[in-house]
Amino acid sequence: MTFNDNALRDIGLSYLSITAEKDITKDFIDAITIQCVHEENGHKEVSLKGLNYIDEELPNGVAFLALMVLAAHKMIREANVHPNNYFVHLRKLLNIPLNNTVSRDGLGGGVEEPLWLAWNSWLEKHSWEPTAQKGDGAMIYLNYTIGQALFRDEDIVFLKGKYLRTLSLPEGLRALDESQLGGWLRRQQFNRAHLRSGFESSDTGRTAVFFDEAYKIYQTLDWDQPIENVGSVADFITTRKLSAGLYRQTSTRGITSYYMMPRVPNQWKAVDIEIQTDNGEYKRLEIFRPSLFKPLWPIDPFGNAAKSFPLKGSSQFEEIVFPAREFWILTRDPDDRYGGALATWKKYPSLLGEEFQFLLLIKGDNDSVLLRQLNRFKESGLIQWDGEPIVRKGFLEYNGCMILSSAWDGIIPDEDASELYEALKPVAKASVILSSGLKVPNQNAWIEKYPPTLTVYGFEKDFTLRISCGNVEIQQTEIEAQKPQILKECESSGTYRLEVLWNNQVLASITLRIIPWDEVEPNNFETSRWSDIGSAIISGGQIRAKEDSHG
Amino acid sequence: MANIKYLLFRGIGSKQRLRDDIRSAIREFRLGMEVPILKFEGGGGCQFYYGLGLSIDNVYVTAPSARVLYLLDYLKIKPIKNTMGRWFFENEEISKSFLKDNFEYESFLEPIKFESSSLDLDEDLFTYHEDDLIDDNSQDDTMMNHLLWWCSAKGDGSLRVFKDTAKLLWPQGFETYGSRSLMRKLLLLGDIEIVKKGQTYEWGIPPTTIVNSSYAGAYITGKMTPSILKNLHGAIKTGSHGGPTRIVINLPDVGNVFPVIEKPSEKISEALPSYLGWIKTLPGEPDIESHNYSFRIYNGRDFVATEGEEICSGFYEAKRIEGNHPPKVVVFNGTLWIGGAFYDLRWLARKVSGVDMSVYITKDGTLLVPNIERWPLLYERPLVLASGLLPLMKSIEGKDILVYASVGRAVAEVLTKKLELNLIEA
Repeated sequence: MTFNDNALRDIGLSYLSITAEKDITKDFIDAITIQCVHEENGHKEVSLKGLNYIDEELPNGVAFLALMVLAAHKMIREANVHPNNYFVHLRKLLNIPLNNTVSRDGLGGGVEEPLWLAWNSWLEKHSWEPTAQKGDGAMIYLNYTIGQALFRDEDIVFLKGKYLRTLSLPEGLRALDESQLGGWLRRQQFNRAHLRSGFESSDTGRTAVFFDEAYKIYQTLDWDQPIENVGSVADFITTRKLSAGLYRQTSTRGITSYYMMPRVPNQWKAVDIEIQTDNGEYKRLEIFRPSLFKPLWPIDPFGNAAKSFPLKGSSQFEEIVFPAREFWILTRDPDDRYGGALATWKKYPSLLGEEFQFLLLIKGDNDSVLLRQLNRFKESGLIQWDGEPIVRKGFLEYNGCMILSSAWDGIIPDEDASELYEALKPVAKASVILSSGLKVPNQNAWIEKYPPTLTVYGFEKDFTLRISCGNVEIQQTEIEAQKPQILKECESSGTYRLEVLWNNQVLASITLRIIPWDEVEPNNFETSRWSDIGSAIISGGQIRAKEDSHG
Repeated sequence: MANIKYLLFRGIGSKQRLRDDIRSAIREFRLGMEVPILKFEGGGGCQFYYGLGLSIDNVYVTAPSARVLYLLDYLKIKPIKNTMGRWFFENEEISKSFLKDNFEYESFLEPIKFESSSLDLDEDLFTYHEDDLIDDNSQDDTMMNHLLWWCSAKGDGSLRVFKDTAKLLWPQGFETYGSRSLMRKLLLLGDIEIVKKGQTYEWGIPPTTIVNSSYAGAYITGKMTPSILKNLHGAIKTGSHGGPTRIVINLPDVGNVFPVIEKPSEKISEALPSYLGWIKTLPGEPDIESHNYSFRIYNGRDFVATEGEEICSGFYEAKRIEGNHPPKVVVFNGTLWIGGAFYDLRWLARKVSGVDMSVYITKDGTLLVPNIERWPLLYERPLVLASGLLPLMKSIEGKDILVYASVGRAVAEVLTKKLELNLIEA
């Protein structure tokens, strides 16, 4: 639950049409206060009655939880993370006198835990991974909240300063894409344990949200400001750039082309938006997948510098940036692993996880540092690929790459190859791959009676698989690594938790949702294909004159 | 394995013995995931540094776990703490200083087995001869509904995905008939469209649309799921002769929920090219030569061995002699090899060999086509769209006849003219 002033502002502006001048944060806090804080004889008390339910498909307590996360964001120093300190911040937001004792004002003691549990169960029901977890000791209940807070205001100021000091020059460093910046962040030695816990987590989902937030700050930085001006208060962060990746296509004649494929930003509100091509014409951006626009036009994957393409039609976004990279990692279409295109489907591909086989494009020729280093990784048994690389103009294609070993620490990479090294080095200890079965892609669920096949990839021969539904453990069994098995225990509708353990330690877990046919929803995107019949084109029963074709 | 922190040790004596001791202890205590790597200072000295790499997931952890401490105790080794009294060293700290860029390492974890990923390209949808399935009303439409609902949820995809789904939903039928018969039914009913993209084909589902036909009322094509069905007030479900359930609606009941296509059967018929124009769109097969392919000729029922060496015009199954390629169907017109779908080519072979073909129309607009002369898919589609019903197979005077309902004389006349067939009153 990423919830801070920026998120609030984005929601207010994008979804509620609130004007920018209005204090959206105050509005939000007032609304919560009216609902949850009751005053009697001058004594204020928080009541969460009725908030731990899911009514009409929505968790009642989500706004209060968001407020709790907002309070965590507003804490100043991580060293002060302690229940007493945290509740001071929360009381300030709720306008409860600070001399109230925690136990007397309805806060503390885990009263909010049922709300977190309801929230987690709602997330699981909708195929999202719950991340709020109970902690230990003094943090037993507070951990639910603190774990959700990404960057505190002071972290934002700190990161801005670090970017200005380290990435200002050469100017090419100001146009990194998400994964490049993610790799850079991983290579930094942060003293702030809170930032390290986000950037270095072995939970790829957690690192992805940290990288996204860090990227927002990077994208909106004024690179020309003096470092002293970064200030002590974080400004609102409004992203004005969209990033783009690559989509690979091979023609009937076997000619491979690479297309620029822009990403749909988080909290995107559908508007007609157009991109200016190299020859000055404008082309409409069309949604392709929930997080991607349709591939646009062929592009050289390895230009000398990042390229910027102006946008029109959006009050927020001004340009699309295609980065200058030394290498690209392309993975298979997650919705069509066998027939789909190779592309940068994910910003931060997990190379031991779902994207365990990938295509690697490396800039340069056989003498380049990157290629020498890549061969060194291969000789050390860290990576393997299919056959010989294909030589393209200015770069090489390595097909069917797989990360084989965890022992990347056994190599100290050349400084110039550290970004590649970091991108390839596996983060997780094991991963669960669900494949086959009858998946409903847009709902991230499988259909009853057609459960998926599970395969575990990891650095041991055998693992334990634990399957549970709700709080009930259905099965615990030993499984061999890389040996697919059908999840017959998960044929009926429901939400299942699949955990991979080794020596009683959970190494990887995944939520599996099985739905009945009645819950299958149609794909809402335009998916027509048009066949040319000479004077017209047809699609099912539709017919159009050729000039009406959109492609 | 992002967070490897090192415990640093100073060793004396045999590196190999120490290494063996550490390895066997880690295996015995099953600590590989927790202690995944050991690094040794290189060179031949009898005093050396070495580091045990610990996988630390929680950045707030500042000391080894009890299990690791037990291991150290068991091995009787004691780590060096750094100047700040900390237990852990970063990789760079030990690799570039204590081990001086000159180190050996040993991983205690198992490597992952390499799996070749060579792409299985979809074979051409219509290149081999397995027959399509002609169904009657006894076909279970549940499977076809599920297939259409799933395709509607997926939206679009490759043939491989379609085949995998067909195999799951229809395991017995798939073994016998493959998935193409299912795809063909959906194509004829206007529920799906296929186009060639790159080296393979891809399919997409058109939006949910109401077809308002001339003689068979209004019915639904395109995307369909139970949730769409719920919003169709007054819809009547009927069979479609082997396809998904035919959803018949009364236009005023449904309102403007979905776009309406008026008489697509007539419109598509008018827009189709003559059969000579259509032939030009069929793919040539320039690679086929008699020395690298074996051939079987179609005798009206099956492909059978050819007689003699010479290849004459006709409808063939061609199989590459070398390798393990699936056979494909082709027509030889005396000069060129032409590829395409089974029914398309079977009809073409009869046409180019000069067979005088006829179809029959009844007074109520039903069209009767001899099964042996089933039309190419492109021309068959308007016959099916006229009613939303797949053809029924009937035996009339000992011959298999395909019966297309509610085609109407106008459409039949346009299409028979384009295909240069005789249209006879039944």
